[in-house]
Amino acid sequence: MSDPEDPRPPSLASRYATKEVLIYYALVLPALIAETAFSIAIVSTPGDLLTQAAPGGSAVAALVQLVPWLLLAASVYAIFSLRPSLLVTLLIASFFVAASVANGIAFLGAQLDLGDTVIVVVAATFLALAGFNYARGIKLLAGRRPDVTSSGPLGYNALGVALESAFPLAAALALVLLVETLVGDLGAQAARLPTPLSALASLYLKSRIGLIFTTLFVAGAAIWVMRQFLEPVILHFTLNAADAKKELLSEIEPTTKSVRKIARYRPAGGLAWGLLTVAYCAGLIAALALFLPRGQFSRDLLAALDLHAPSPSPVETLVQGSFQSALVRINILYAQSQDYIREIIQLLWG
Amino acid sequence: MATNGSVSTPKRFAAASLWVGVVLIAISIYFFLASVTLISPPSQAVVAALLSAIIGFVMLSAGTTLVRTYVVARVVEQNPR
Repeated sequence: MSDPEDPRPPSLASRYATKEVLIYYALVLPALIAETAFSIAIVSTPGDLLTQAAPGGSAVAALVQLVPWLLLAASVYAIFSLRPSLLVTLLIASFFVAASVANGIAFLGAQLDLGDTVIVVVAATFLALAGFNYARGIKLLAGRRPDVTSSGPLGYNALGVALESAFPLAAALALVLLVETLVGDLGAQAARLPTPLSALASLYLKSRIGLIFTTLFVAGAAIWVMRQFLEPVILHFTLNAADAKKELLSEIEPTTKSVRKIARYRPAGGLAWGLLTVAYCAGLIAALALFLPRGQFSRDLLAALDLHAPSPSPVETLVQGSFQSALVRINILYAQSQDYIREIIQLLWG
Repeated sequence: MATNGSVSTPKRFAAASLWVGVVLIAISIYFFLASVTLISPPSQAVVAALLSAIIGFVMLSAGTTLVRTYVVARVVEQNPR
């Protein structure tokens, strides 16, 4: 794909200002903008709660103010070092921080609610992942000029452009729409469940953490399904014999490892376990002799050897009484929890 | 096996796994569609829809694993050395 007749080393401008790099920047830009919005929301949140919470609360609040800017700096580094996965991780981290501490997230004067914010995060994440395709190509070319001319029919060229540019973008946007639709429908479906479950599910879906986890779960499932369909097709067109053999060997590796382990197994003589037991008993006796009051260990030992029950010390009596009361409390709590579970089962299934 | 003077190696990995995988994928799509149907009005079978979706996920996983293994084994078979 590179031009072999070009002996000159690539300049900095040609390395960072090619068409592919600009496409990559455009694809990861929404993630950076979203991170900026989240950072502004975090910084603009008053830190009174943190200040009152602890003696070092002001220092913690100052650190919280610094975190978004550190995240932004790390994101810029991730973009210029062509690491979209790091960028996505930072985006999701900033989103979680903003959703946890910020009162509201605004973008260009418009106030975003949690549902809008989740859609923004999912869209930015998918676009950044689509940009990874371009980033990988840029890494492979290492600044060399790509030779993308083709002497084939126009249809093949159009198909190549579609697969390279339009398909990742279309897949990302389709996934965003699918996730938004599914998460929206889940709220309506939750209301159809039986009475206690519908209330619980609706409350869960209305909460911040519930919406976030549901969206992440649905997005993960959608990506998994897409990967399941695409992986065999991509393997069919790209796999060579050496990689296929490696793949097959890696698939049977757990089985071969366990077979080798079984074949190499030799029963031990038991000496090591005996030594360990003796060492454990010696350590136990030493600890008892050290931590018990003076003379207590020898008295208890002699009483045990004489087969008489040792008279409990006041501390032992106190500990025994507290353990008994704790046991009674645990029994009561267990009986109460049984009653609650019975009530819930009766409510659900009559 | 010698046929017509030429020696051909028998196929060790049958195409049946490919077709079984494709059939499993088709069944998984059916279950995904059934899960959508079960929660679309007027039907309100939410639990059955969830179960159908889970069956679809499991069948999709099994089908694609079969197809993937067939593709990998076929590449190895075509290049035995």
